[in-house]
Amino acid sequence: MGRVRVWLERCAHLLGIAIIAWLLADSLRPRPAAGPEVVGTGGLAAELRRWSTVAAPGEVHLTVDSAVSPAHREWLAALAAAGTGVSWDGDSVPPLAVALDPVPDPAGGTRIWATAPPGTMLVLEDDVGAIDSVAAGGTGARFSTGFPLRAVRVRSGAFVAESVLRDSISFGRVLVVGRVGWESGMVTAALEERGWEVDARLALSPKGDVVQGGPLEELDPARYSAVIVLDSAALVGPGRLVRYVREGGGLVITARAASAAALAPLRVGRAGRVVAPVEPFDTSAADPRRSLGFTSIVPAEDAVPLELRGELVAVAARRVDRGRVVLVGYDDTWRWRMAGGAGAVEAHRAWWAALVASVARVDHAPLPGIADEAPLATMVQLLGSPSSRPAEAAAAGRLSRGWAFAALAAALLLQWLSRRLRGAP
Amino acid sequence: MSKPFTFATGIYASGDWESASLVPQNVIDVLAKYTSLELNPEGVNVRIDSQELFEYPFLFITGHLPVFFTPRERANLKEYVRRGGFLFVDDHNHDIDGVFHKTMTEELEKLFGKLEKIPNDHRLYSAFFEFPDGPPTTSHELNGWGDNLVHDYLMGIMEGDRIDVLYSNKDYSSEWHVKLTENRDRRQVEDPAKIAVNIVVYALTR
Repeated sequence: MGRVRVWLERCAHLLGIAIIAWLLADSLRPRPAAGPEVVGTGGLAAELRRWSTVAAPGEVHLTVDSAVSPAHREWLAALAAAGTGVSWDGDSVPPLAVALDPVPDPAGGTRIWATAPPGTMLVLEDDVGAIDSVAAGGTGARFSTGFPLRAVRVRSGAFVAESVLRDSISFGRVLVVGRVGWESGMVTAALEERGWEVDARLALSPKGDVVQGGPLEELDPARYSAVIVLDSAALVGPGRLVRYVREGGGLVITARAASAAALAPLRVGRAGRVVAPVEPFDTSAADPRRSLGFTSIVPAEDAVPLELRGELVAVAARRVDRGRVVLVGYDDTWRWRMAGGAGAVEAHRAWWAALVASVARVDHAPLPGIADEAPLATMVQLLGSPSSRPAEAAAAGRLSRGWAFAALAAALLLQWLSRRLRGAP
Repeated sequence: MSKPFTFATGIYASGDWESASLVPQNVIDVLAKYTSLELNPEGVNVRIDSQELFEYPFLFITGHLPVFFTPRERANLKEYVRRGGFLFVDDHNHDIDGVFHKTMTEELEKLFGKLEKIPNDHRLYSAFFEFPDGPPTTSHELNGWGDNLVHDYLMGIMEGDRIDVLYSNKDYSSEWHVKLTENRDRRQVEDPAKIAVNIVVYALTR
């Protein structure tokens, strides 16, 4: 028994010497850098202040679990530039991005595009509160507002992207060309109610036309944001209209007017089937334009259908050099306004305003302001791609040296106690 | 094919809406004579309490007798004008003390607010022909019929400068009920038919 005890004491002694030797060797080896300081998004502000005022660590790692403010991202980038290793991870960060654009409409609408993975629930907000919400489709989501917005946010859970208007827009007048009749009268009324300043050239009699505004010689994209041709009867000099569009002007033209040979360079498509109007107007139909007669459009190869009625194309668009042309198959849209039931006046006005907005030429003036439009993309741009969290490896190194020291202390203590208890020196 | 302009005469439950039944045809003839408007060769008579009313944005109402609109007629007329319809009312009596004038103006003002005098330099008087002195004199005025007055203005329900409802005391109904260009009083400086062209062109181009 006594020999075993002595043998064990020697083993403990040898173990202690071995651990001391290992620790000595370990201390003489070149030491790897200390492990990064790991922080979550919630504690980032306080840590950034500490790192920037007390002592900058050799390496930091951010675990992103909610939105990182642009200021904090820039701060991290500054730390990285000053020599601190900065890494981050965040598997749950959605690739959100948002942009907004003013609609060329005197009423001041705004178009907003958001990108997000399909199925992501997106909430559109401004400073006042939520405006709309929608689940992202295959290419994100698109919102439209009938009122001006200076800045918006798109939120998905704890993550947010924001955008501000980069341009203010200004636009010219609208010219309506056609015959004196209800269509020209009510289209003009709808656009004037919307806030457009409208000039007109309308055929009325062999003696002359109704002319409001300058002569067609002044048909210039700088003066007219858009031209609406309802009928070619008053279209003096169609060559000027072709030149106007090529120079950047916007044209809305009816199928009835578009057949003029001189307008061939602007052709969006050819006329298809003629569908008779429904009389009396069916105010109960889900589609308010269902009762309108129309000429269907067979779009040209480079044209884009904008509105379908069943299988038939009712509205199509095409770019012609710097300008845009929208071809409208509908006849007598004034019937919708007059006989379309409750809300028809407003709907007719909004529809025509949208047609004009889709082609109108506008002047842009840049606005000051920055926004966090694509947070994830900016994060990658500033701090690099996300990496795995390195905290585990750093902890393991510290842990093994601690255990070695504990084992050394235990071995020496056991040896000392055993020797003291048996009366050895 | 676009729908042509149709001259619609309003049928109302009270009074004698059909008192000038030749007016539509004569006005259409004169429009065809002077303009290249696409015209429906026939006028239509439309009940003002019907949904069909909204298919005709120009509505002519005339009569001699007292007028009391039904609630449905009132609601339809108000909505008709709100949507952009043009209402032209002519007093077939040519008499400011007549029952048609009193009851019709009361109905119109209840529906739309105060009737205003239309200034004689309004665009209505230059929409096609020029009438520098305002509405042309009718043969009834020159002959001293009705209230024996020459009414030198028309009235209207205005929205700014825009006329939504045109009201006439001049009895154009009588003037236009006969063949417009044939039975002209020699004292008349202007063809009384021409103002009909202005009224229609103005309604279409307001």
